[in-house]
Amino acid sequence: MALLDVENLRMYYEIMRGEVKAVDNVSFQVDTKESLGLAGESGCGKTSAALSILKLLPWNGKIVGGAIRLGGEDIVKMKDSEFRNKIRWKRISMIFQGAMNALHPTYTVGHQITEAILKHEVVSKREANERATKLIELVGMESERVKRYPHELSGGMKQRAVTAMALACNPDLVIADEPTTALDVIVQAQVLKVMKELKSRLDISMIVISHDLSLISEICDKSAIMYAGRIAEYGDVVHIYKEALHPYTEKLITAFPSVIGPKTELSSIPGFPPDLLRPPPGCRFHPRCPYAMEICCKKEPSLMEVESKDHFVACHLHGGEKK
Amino acid sequence: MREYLIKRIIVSLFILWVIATLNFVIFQVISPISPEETFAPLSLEVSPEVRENLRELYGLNDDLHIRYLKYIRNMFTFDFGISFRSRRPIASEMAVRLPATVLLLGSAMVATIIVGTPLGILAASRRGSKLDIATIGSGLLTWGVPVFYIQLVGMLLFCFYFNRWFGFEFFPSRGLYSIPPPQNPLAFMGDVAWHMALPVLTLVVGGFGSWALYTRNVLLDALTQDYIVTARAKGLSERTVLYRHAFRSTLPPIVTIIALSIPGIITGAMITEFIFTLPGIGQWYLTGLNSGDYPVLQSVLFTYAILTIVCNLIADLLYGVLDPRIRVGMRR
Amino acid sequence: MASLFSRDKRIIWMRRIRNFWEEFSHTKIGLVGLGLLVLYILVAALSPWLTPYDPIAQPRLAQSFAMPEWVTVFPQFSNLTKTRRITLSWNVENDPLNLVTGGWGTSVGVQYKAGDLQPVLLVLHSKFSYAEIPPNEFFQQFAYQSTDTKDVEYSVTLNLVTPEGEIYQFWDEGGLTGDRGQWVTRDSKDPLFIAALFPNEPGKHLGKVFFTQKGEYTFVLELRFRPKSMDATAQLEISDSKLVILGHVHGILGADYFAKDIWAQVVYGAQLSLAIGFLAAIVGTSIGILVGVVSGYLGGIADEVSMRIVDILLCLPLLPLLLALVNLYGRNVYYIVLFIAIFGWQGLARVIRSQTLSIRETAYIETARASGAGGFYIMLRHIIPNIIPVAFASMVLAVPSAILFESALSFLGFGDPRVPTWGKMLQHAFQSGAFINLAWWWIIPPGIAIIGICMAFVFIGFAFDEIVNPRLRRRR
Ligand SMILES: Nc1ncnc2c1ncn2[C@@H]1O[C@H](COP(=O)(O)OP(=O)(O)O)[C@@H](O)[C@H]1O
Ligand SMILES: [Mg+2]
Repeated sequence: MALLDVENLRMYYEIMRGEVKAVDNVSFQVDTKESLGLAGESGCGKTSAALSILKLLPWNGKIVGGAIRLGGEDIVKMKDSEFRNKIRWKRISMIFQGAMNALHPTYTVGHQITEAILKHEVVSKREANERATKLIELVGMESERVKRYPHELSGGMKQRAVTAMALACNPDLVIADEPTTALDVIVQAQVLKVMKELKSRLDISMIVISHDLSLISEICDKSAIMYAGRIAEYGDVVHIYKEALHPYTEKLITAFPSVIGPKTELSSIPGFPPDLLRPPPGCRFHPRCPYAMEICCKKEPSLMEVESKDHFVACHLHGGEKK
Repeated sequence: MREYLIKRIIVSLFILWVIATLNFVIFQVISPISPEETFAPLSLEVSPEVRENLRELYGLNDDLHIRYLKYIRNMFTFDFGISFRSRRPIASEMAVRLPATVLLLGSAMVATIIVGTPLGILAASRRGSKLDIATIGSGLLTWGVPVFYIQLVGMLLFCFYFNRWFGFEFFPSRGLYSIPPPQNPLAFMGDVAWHMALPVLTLVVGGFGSWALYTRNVLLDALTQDYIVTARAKGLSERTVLYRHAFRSTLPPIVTIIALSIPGIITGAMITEFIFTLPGIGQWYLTGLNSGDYPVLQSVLFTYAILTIVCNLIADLLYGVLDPRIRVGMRR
Repeated sequence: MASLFSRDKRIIWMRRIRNFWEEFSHTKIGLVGLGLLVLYILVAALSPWLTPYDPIAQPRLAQSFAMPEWVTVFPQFSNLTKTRRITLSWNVENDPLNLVTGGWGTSVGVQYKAGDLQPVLLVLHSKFSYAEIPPNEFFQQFAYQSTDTKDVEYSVTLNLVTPEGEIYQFWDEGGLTGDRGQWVTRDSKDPLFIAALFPNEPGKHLGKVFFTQKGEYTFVLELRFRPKSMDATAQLEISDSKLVILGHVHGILGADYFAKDIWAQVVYGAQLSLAIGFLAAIVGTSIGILVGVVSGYLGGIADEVSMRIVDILLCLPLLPLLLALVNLYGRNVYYIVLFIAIFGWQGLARVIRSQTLSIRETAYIETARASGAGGFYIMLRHIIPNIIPVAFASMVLAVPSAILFESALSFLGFGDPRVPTWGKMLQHAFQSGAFINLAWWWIIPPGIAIIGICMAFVFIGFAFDEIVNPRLRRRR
């Protein structure tokens, strides 16, 4: 049984002009010690999916359907207080997008880490402090940084501090939302190294969210490509990165240069992601797809398994038999 | 830090000098009332020599520039001169009036904060609820309802109508204490409190809304920050998130606003003191205006300026203490 | 310069305004504010049609502190009366020599020609009936004018005869010789009148003395002529005789201590408040924009100087300072408006300055400058249009604050004495016994009027703010 099993998740934002279908029928699994990459352009619903897993939706966001099972238990149906005390941070923690602002400006880094430990575990303050120091060292910072305020740290260090905080309660699953975005290339590489190390040293599962497939291919075992609130392609990261089937995945790979490895020509994807208030009919990618066929604007492709094992794609070009 | 403070003090002194000069110009140079006219009641009966002596006493016989220099010296040594009307030193006159004013506005401010802050917090934590809308409404109302009108209506109701209906005043309509004042000190304090109740209450009614709305807005601002999501994600209870995280980061602006509104204590209750005949600074200033007692006027304006500058400095220092991101002097 | 008002620009502006209106019309609170404002503007424009009375110069309309007329629907006030003006028209009771020549009625002409040396008495009377509760105040008036007097001594006496036959002397003037004219007014509150009737009871309530008996009252006017020679003559004209029994109730909102119509004062206050508010707001906002843009755009010394001025202004307590200035320069409403404007722009200047700074940095200004545009042109063309929304929102909120300042000044007695604003009404009410007399109809309406007009602008300003400031908008 998978550690995390997201099934047909639908999460909508209600705004004045209607419903923004930010996550629309999304399913994926994460096994123990496995890491999943969630890729896609910005605005396609990655953060929304992650926030749904932590049930941290903005006031206008609602999970309208589907199930999120953690160790078999559906957390969508779980009571808020129970979820808060038992799941958040203790079992699932998150490294938020824009770590710059994820730390409270008027508390020290150490305080913010111990706060989480003290909330979920019965330990003395002293122990908690010691653990915080260890965590800070674990992510490759000097231990005295625990006494620092966030504004006294550089961007990369903040990212590490946030990572350390995410590990505070030994969670089963860590969600890292755009861990490298907004960092410069050198710092990106450092953060990447830290994450890889952590993954090999700690027994945790991860969901890594990024618009950068090359980063995902570095860290993750599996990958899900999201487009306009849906999964476009899903499967083993090597398969996806090497033999991308969905035209969108292809575009995504060529759009972002790899952090490590040979530099490739940068080409952005023409057009804009659709307005999720009124997504286009049929395949949501068809207005931007170079291979668009007649059927693409009419019928929505469903996620189907292709020849190679555990590789799914939602595209009429690869319309094999249903899973 | 030291450099900053020195620069700051120099600028403050400059501002004070400008304000003192402005006072001088307004009250002693371009004033259409010539200073000796304010002795009108005296000049009727007083012989020319005595009048001359008086002018000498108030230093009105010197040339203008000498007067100006002496005046500036006096202002910066906190020697505000002698009141024309009472012929007593301004400082002692002010000391007599300060307690009433500070008591009045100090307690009104404290009460406003005590009532307004929780209301603002509740409104922010239940955004869109009826309470929130009521808070916004009461905040907007304070923009358009003159406090003195609330006081007039309060007085009409609690003093005059009460008297008509029940034969006694629920709150007294004038003065700081009964005449004669009770002898027992405890009874005297109670008497003062009773006299202060309506003025303070009406000031609070007139002001808590904007305070609550302000608290709500800064708190909502804080609640939309990313670090609040982090705090929630950590599994902290909504209470902890609200008070330890969101409210914590609203402290710097709130404390700043409080510090900056302290100078208003001096003059903010002028109309209240006028309505309820309270012997405070505002009342003193108004009498000074009506009798052309300009030493009183310029001393009040100058004291206000000093207080503003000091409180600004305090606000800056506090901001630096409460918000580690900001070093002193970075506010604004 | 020409392109500033070119067709394209106009179209863009029209579109902007239309979009703005579209958004504005979706905010409930803004529409409420706009409705209120329209109401006040209508009242201001239609003032002469809403009330027949001038707010300043009014005859005595009712007793002082007359309640509103509509209170009579409540049982305890149902017997209160309105003002009754009785024109006294004289009828001859005794005309020994056919003296009355002029017409009958309010104006009576008397032609006296002595044929002998006998004194002559002419008696006129005027009847009216009164059956209401006694009034608190009344006054009686008549005028007489004598001409062509020669060798005659005459006297004028006026008495009131109550239904029960009591006689009270209103006027008695004897031993008159020569031509003279006189206006006679007998007021129930006049201490001399009271003393003449009741020497030992000052403060006697004459209304109760005279008008407690229900029935027919008679005023008796006696004119006596004592000739000194055979050819003594006199012409006497009695005119404008009337009795005004002042009402306990009057008009829509009653009367104040000075017996003036309160509704008229409230209605005319709208014009004044709107004028004061708009003028002060426009002048103040203009100064704020000017200082903000210039200091933000030019920087350097201009910036330093204007920001120091702002610092200095922030160190001055507004109300006391305004009071001092108004006191010095005269209680003139134009000065008051000017002072409110001059000391009310600091906040806006700061905001505009920082906006200008950020706009200045944006690329298109750089381009404009590179292409040789002058500083003034850039300010006018690029910066001003961008700050207009903010400035406008701030101006809308400056209106109520100016109105409140003016009413505070007026309330403290430093308003323009010629200008009857709502603040001044409250001052009069406070100073002239409205409280001890529980005259709520004098205290409540001006305040409601102030609150209403201020809330109109506050609501509109709030809606503006929501539209102009998108961060606020997302909150809701
Ligand atoms: N609070 C919200 N209210 C309405 N729409 C939202 C809200 N948050 C995000 N969205 C919309 O939902 C979509 C998905 O956003 P997000 O999950 O942040 O995408 P990603 O993380 O992939 O960039 C976007 O179109 C975004 O505009
Ligand atoms: Mg995102």
